[in-house]
Amino acid sequence: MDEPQQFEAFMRAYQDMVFGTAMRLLGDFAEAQDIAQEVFLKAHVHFASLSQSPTAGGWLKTVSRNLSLNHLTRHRARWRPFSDLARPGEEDSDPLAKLPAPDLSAEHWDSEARHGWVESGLALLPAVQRVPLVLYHFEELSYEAIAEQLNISLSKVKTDIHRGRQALRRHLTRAPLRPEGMVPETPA
Amino acid sequence: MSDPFEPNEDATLHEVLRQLPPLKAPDSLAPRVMQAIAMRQARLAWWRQPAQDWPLPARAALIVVSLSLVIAVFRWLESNLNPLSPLNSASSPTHDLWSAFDTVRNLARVMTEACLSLLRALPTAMGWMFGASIIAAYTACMSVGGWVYRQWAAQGQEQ
Repeated sequence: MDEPQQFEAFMRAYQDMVFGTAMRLLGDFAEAQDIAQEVFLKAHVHFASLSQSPTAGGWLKTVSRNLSLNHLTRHRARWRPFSDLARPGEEDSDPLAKLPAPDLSAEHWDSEARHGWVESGLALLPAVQRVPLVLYHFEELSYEAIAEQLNISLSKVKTDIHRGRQALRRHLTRAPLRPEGMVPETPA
Repeated sequence: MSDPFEPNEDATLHEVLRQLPPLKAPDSLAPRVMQAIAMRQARLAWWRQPAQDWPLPARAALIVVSLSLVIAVFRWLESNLNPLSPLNSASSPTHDLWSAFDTVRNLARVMTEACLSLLRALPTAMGWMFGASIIAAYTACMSVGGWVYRQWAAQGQEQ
């Protein structure tokens, strides 16, 4: 197998992980594809050492995460730095409420549809909530590590994650068959 | 990961999120990346790429030119610097050059003999240590040089 074929095989082995990391952080298909491409272009530069390394997956995941976060802070017009305070009332607005509930009967509400519903809820969260939520639940970073990575205070991380969870929970409880253990929120 | 907020509900949510299957990359990603790599490599002028990636005529020309150069240098040395050559007289500039070369050669021989005498005088264990330290220094220099070159080459490729 020559070098381009080896690299293509390497890429196919890791592309779902790289794309998935970027997609969940960015919540945008086209941007996630751009980031995944950028990650693999970097990997190609270092392929001689990466192809022999047992930690290649970790390297790719870290690069994917960092590039996604850089992209969010640098290139997205609607993105504001994490440290900025949200405008009054903005964080309380629920973007997921605008998403129409899927018109599926219970028998057609299979696991694929349910996963799609969760993913759509995640993608629709504002970045200020989605990013720390994804870093905590998928990347398994601690609150402290998230605060350091995003350059925000620990209390802000906790608040953002809490609000993100609340919004996501509301979204999930609107599903035709909500995940086990999910109970609709009772109004306070 | 401890959570100060609603531990039961959040544990359930965590489980729901963790049960999500990995997102599938689009089929177009791999061809797109390979195309970008090809375009990036094409942007580099052929002479800036590794010699093994040069066009075949360029590689052949490189080998022919290199061999010709080596042969020409050897022939020139043989015909012009050899004092036994009938072309050289005792007073010619080439004869002076050959004398200078001979002096350097003698100096190198004397220094080599001095080093060998020094090594012979050293105890065996010390000699081994001396040799090992020379090899270690050489390896370190080669590694650092290689690393610097790879960094430089990687930067060039990223531009």
